[in-house]
Amino acid sequence: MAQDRTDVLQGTLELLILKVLSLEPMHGWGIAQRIQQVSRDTFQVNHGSLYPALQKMTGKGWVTAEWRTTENNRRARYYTLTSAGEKQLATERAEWERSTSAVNWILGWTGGSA
Amino acid sequence: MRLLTEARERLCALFFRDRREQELDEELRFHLEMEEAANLRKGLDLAEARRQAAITFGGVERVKEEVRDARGLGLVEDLVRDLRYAVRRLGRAPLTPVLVVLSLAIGVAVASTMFTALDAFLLRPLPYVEADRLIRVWLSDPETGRDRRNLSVSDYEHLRERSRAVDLAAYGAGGMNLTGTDVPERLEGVRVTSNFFRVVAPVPLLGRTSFGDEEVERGERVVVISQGLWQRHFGEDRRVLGQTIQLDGQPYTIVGVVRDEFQFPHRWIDVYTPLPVAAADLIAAEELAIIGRLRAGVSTEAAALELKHIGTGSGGGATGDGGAAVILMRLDRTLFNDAFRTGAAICSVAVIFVLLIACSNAANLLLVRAATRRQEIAVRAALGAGRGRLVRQLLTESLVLGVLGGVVGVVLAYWGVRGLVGIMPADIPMVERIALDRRALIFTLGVSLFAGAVSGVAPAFHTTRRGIASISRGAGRRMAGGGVHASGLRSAIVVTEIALALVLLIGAGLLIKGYVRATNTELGFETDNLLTMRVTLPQPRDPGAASTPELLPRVENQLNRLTGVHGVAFSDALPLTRWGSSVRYRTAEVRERSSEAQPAAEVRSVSPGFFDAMRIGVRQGRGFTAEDRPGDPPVVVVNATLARTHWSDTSPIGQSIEYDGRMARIVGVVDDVNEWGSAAPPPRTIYAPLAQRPAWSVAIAVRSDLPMDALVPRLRAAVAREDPNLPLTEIATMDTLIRESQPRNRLMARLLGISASVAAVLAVVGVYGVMAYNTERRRSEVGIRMAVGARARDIVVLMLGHGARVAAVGVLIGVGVAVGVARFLAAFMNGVSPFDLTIFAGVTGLLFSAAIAACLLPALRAARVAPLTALRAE
Repeated sequence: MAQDRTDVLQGTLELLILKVLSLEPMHGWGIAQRIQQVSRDTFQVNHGSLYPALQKMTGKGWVTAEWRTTENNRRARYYTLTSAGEKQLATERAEWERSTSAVNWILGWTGGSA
Repeated sequence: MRLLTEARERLCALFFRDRREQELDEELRFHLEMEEAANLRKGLDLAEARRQAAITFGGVERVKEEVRDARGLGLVEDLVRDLRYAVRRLGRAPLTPVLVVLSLAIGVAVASTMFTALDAFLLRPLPYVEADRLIRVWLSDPETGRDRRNLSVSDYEHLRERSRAVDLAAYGAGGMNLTGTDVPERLEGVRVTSNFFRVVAPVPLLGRTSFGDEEVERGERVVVISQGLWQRHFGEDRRVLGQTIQLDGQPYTIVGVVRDEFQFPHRWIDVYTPLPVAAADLIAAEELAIIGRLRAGVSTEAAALELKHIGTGSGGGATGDGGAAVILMRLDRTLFNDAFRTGAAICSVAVIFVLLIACSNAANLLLVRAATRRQEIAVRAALGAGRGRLVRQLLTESLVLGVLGGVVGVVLAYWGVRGLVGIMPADIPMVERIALDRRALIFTLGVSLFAGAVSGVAPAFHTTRRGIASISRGAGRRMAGGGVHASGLRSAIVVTEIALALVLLIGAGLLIKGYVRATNTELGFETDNLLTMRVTLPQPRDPGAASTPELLPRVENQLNRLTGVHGVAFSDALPLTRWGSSVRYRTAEVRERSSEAQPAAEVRSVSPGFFDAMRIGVRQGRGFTAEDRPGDPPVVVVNATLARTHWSDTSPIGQSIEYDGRMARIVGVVDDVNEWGSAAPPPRTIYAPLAQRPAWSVAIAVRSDLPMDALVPRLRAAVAREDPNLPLTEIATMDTLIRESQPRNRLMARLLGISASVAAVLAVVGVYGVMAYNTERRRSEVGIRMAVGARARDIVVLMLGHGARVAAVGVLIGVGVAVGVARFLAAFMNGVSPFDLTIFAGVTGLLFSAAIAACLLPALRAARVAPLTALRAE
């Protein structure tokens, strides 16, 4: 439990999930772990909020879900990125980068005309 | 593509709900277990590992709820879940739901019953082919005070030949006696012109519904019979075509059977026979009713103008006036005129009031029940249900109650419809269409849902207002009643109920008073112990022959000889029977001023014993005797109104009067008789002896002390002794005729009276319910008061005071509204003032007392509470 946890921004949760799933299909808990690990504990996702997001994304056709067995012979629901999901990942990534650039420009503005 | 996936997902979610729930549960459990295992690996003990896993995850139920929201069809899935939950919940605490269902059932039943009548009369089209193109035609009749009269043969022919806008056909009286059977029967019928069936276009059941032009012209004895007659007399034998039946002693060949629903002009027509119009001498004085069909593309207004323009031609009919205007009206407007529609609107409003009162009662019950559920609501709110969801949940419950109320309401409505058909006056057409059919059931479903929604709205919104906060603030019992606001809302609902009920009661009171006034007026003759009936002799083929001379006096003799009979009166039309004809007449002075329009008067052919038996006073001169024989110079008796009109200072005895093509001498003056009951003043009337002015259909009035069951068989036997083929019809006591002489007013008074009674009962029950709950809620307050020294009487006064205030406000509002709307009832009130003080004061006092009485019981119960018990229960 890191002391400074940053709540995941709304909407970026989907982006993060898409990215995680673009590497390999994963179950819900695995996605939560991966986000935590890869962000070096910056993002501690409220695990529960993953599932409604996953449901929405399944409904929109960006991921598909199926039951598989894990290494420990447990039954878990694995989510796989679809081609539509890949397209969505690219779109949202571009959008994200555009908005962060804009914020950076404003932060770097020292005055005078841009 | 995405749309398909989404749709498929959602449909699957709906149908495989349970499996999905299981899977979701399993998925989340997997997550928690994995997290727990990871925590264990970090070195936490089992309990701590589990706790940390739960914290990191967040609320499981909330997550499930959010997943369901994200997945489902939203509204539909929630609705199904709410329904199941609602049914379960209602089953657990059945008392309030049962009361709610009963209350709604009453409202729904009343509404559905009214709907069946409205549907049968006004909403459904008439059963004829393209019924909106059918029209009726009359002539205006300004002189006699009747606003329309039928046409003569020449009038009809004149119009028919010239009109290009309308296809006209005519029909005239054609009732016949079914003879040659054991019991003669009077059959309703019409004689029709050749194009009648083309215009009306009824669908035949067997054979043909049409007469060939030749058949009609030659007046052949062919007949189209009704489905009812076919069932009664031929047992639905399909070989009936070509067989004969005996009508008025003559054989008629059956050429067709017409379906019941297509009968015109009304449902009880049994026989249609041809009317040979061309043989004008046969029916010179015949009055024809006209039915027409607008030709394609012609509007009613255009046709009316055209017919008006064509007019009645030279001199018009037998009455010799050219001044009558041709009136045209659509058939559906004539069957149900504006007065009828106004009455229907008033009754509909009354029924809506009853429904609203029933819904108010249900709403109050639900408010009380919702107050006890605050905790449950708060918990659900904490679990993540938004206000919208909660409102939907509560509304679903009340909708379920509404539908249940509808089911019970349908059962009640079944009897309601039977009762309604029973009180319908005989002259309203289409009464047979009143039934709880599919349309009525669909309407009932709609009303049930509406009632459920209306009842549930206030409780749903009110209860979900506060949310968790008020509960966790330790509200306890004090808040359990919903607080001050809910009490105010409940009182407001009760005030509305009382106001609505009062409006209905005042309206009903006014109508009933009007009706009673109508039936109590003096009619000019003695009405007690008078049994009326009618005999109709077969109409002669050639009117030249003496039609009735010997038979009727012989029948009169037979009847007079019966023991128990004190008087026998024959007339071609008795008062209040809606038969009767009028003529134009001329007295000596009027003859001189021949340019003026002739005045008109009612004319009656009466037997010598008529004035005696009817106890009509003879003011001057004499009545008729057996001495007034057919060959003698014509004599007449006039009534006081006619005498006053022309001979106010002198005596009319001995004066001459010309009418109907004959000159007669006045031999007597009699008291006025209200021919049409209290609906209109007595008309000018001329009485002629039956012997000199014969009629082929006479009404008989028999004065006797014997009860009807004993009297009627003796009368039948007496008549059969003279002619076994002569049926007695329209048997009714004069009292019945008077009671039914104002059928519309009577119906309105009854319908409104029933609605008002139901409304009043519901309102008073509502008052009781609210008062009982209020006193229950204020128990602790009562306990404190009594502990501080209040006596039982003070408590009762306190509680009653509250109830009286509520009732008073309701009554005031009700009176105000009633004053505003009473004038709409004026047409049915027979002259009673819309601000009749007796009715207003009496009805208001009655309802107010009932409301106070309803408060009394709970107040008394409250006062009997021992203070310690009340406080301890806190």
